[in-house]
Amino acid sequence: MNKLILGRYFPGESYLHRLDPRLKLVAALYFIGLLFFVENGQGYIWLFLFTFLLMRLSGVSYSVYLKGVKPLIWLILFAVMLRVLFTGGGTIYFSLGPIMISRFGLLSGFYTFSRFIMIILISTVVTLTTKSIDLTDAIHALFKPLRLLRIPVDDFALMLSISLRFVPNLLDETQKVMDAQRARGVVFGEGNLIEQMKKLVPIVLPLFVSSLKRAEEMADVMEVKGYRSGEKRSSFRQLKWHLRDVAAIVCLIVLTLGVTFFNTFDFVLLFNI
Amino acid sequence: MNGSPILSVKDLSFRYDIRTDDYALSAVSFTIKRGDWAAVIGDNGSGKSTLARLIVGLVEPEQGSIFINNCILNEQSKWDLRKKVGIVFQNPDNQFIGTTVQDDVAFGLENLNLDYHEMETRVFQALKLVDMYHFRDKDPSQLSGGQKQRVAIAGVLALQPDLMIFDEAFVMLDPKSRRELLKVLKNIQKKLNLTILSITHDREEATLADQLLVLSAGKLIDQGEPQAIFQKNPDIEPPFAEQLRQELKGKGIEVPDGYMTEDELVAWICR
Repeated sequence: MNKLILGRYFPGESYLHRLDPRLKLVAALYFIGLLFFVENGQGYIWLFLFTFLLMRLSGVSYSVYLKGVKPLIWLILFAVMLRVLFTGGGTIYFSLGPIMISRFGLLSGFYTFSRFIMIILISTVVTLTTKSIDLTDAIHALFKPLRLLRIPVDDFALMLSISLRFVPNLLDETQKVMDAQRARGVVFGEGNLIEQMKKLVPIVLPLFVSSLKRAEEMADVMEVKGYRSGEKRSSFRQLKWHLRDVAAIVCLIVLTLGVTFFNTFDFVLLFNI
Repeated sequence: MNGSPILSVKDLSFRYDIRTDDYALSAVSFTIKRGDWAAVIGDNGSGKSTLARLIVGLVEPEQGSIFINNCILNEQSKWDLRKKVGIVFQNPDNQFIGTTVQDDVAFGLENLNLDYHEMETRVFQALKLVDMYHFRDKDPSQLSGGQKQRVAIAGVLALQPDLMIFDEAFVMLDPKSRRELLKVLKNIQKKLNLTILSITHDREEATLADQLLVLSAGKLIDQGEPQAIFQKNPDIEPPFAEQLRQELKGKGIEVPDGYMTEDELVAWICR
């Protein structure tokens, strides 16, 4: 059933698994921001080292990470090619009309490549080590201030967690409907694109109907259990700040200092523009 | 407190479509005493589920009134009354709102805005009652139908209701887990002095009741002790033991008059 693992959480007990999800989310965003402040090659190497350290700490094998990069590799290479071919400056190795391969071009290609890869790797680290419900909690906690602007943050968080909760049910149901249609003689995965799309209609329609029915029943249950949108609710899921979370913040500070340091002092001249 | 009415329904009528004369319920009146187990039986479309939806205020009656704890149910009072009335529906999957067992049990408590420690103890107690505490961290896909239904019951128990309604809540279970769950429920009912209104097709479940209400085409056609009802209404299919007793009687075998439970009948046959 669960061929598609949403959020692709890998159960584990590693240091990263136990970190506060709020921290993980903010740290990942911070890291991505930091990527754009790096000015030279050694800074990227420093960040790469950190990324690999995290991947090791997560206790998930590198091949899983590679799988995360794979579907995006053509997009990345396309962006890198644009950089390489259309950036001028420095020593020019080859040129043909507007296209040229220059020292600057190659370097900025390398930077673009590094940024893309690290963004994917770091976000994969977060999703692999955090349950989707914990991520929902984190998003909920981080967006709480928006309540002041009368944005129904709690309702959105509940919607998100209920949707996540029903993903397996929906997959199950899709499988059932497909089997039912197969029993009536539909052959999936045959014919041209339009034919294949037509075959999706008898799957999507029953799914819609059953989802609506399910939603109605759930709404009844929620109402009877006293759920009222906009009322103050307490939360049974508690996020607690631990010492290990403080340690992680210290690591982030060291990381930032490292980037500043490498931006100020150049050692590996080869990589510099 | 026992013996005083907890739920009284007076002259209740309801139809889903006011353009037609199709009444789902018409002029239904009855009273349920505190601490009783009442069962509602009736064929499909007899208005059983509509009755349940009316009592928890999911739909409004066209005529008549519902009193819970001597307080009338209306648009204003329904949110307060729902704290005293819990309902378990038929499909266990669609009632599971939390991501894990304990989150789901806590859902109703979160709505009451209780503090964390209160919730923790209530979740613990409720899960212990239905014997699901070991499963508190599991998510619904890891549970069987019977286990999910136990969680649904715990979710209602945690709210500490006076009246619990089961709307064909055990249909999806196999006979063995149904019997087990009913036994658990009967114990909980005694322990917490709960009032239970169970809507059911299952004759065995109906015989557990102190009071039986028979609905047919939206009308309450009979009410009373299950034994008496099964004996005097030949159209209502009785539970297996009563069927057997009547068959034996028809064959000219001298069976004691009066209703017998399955165990009593077994004891009589093996005497």
